[in-house]
Amino acid sequence: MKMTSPNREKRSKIRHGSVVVALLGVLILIGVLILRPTLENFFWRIWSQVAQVRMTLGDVANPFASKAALEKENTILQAELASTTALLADRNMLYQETLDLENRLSRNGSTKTILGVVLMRPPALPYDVFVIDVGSSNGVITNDLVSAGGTLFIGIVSQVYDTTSRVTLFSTPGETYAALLHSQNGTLTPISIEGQGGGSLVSKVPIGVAASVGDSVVLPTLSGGIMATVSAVVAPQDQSFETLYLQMPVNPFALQYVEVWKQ
Amino acid sequence: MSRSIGSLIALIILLVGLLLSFWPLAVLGLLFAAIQGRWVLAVCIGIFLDLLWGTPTGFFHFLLLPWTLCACVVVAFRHMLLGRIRLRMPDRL
Repeated sequence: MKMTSPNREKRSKIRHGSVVVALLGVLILIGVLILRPTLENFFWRIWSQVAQVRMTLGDVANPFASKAALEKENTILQAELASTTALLADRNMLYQETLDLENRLSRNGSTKTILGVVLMRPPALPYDVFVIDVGSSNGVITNDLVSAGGTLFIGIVSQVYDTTSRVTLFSTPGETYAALLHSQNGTLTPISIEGQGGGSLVSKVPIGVAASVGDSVVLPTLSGGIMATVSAVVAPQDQSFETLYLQMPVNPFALQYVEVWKQ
Repeated sequence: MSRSIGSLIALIILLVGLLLSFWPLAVLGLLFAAIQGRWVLAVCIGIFLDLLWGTPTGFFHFLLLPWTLCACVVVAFRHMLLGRIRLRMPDRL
């Protein structure tokens, strides 16, 4: 009579168990991959309601914040508002002049925008993306530009669901975009910018390009639009390229509202 | 720790991570469920997080379902590790 050792039986059971678990795992993964678009659409129909309730609860909890801290924050914000009001007036005047010029040259730069509320942002999720509460039912399509307000662009729509959309920021690590460096002497230099995460970007340009701290990086389109500003220039000696460190002019992770610009 | 309490703790950690908008806590819930051996719960949490957060950006874009894969890998690793321990110390387990 053939005797099998208990260890061999155990090993065989463990091997069979591992194969079954692995096969089940693969089947589940394939199923989710195939059904992903449908699942995500359905999921976000429900989760967008949950996210909005959560935001409302967050607003309700605000009265419990320290009164002194709120008063101090109010004073600071009033001062910032006063200084930006004058800049805004100047900007509006220049923007109107630009629109007039475009109209005269038969290139109407006016664009329809859709206001969206930011439902999720880092650190709620590990990637440099936003989820906003407007989707295909509001007319949003993939690759629409997203701004923090006015012509301050922060990213593009990367995925659209029925009632929500995903916005990939320009500063998302690994993403590269073509842009124009608007130097203070008025020259426009085509550059390529790469996201570093957290609202930071980087670009390498040849030594000799007129770049300095405070220069704007704009979109290479007719309507333009600011993407970032130069925060540091590093030009090592004996190197052919200098590195421009760029920063978005607005903290994208503090935004509550964004505008989706229709193409 | 009983299995149901382990599952409950994993779900609580996940929920706290979602409420506080802090993704590492949500991932900790997934890992806790996977290490406990609750593979169905771990895979479900992984699928939920992948649907919630979407495809990764940048270099890890090719992973498509990173958190589901993470749950499967941790569960498989636990299964193999326990199998080896059982073989070496059959009397203890």
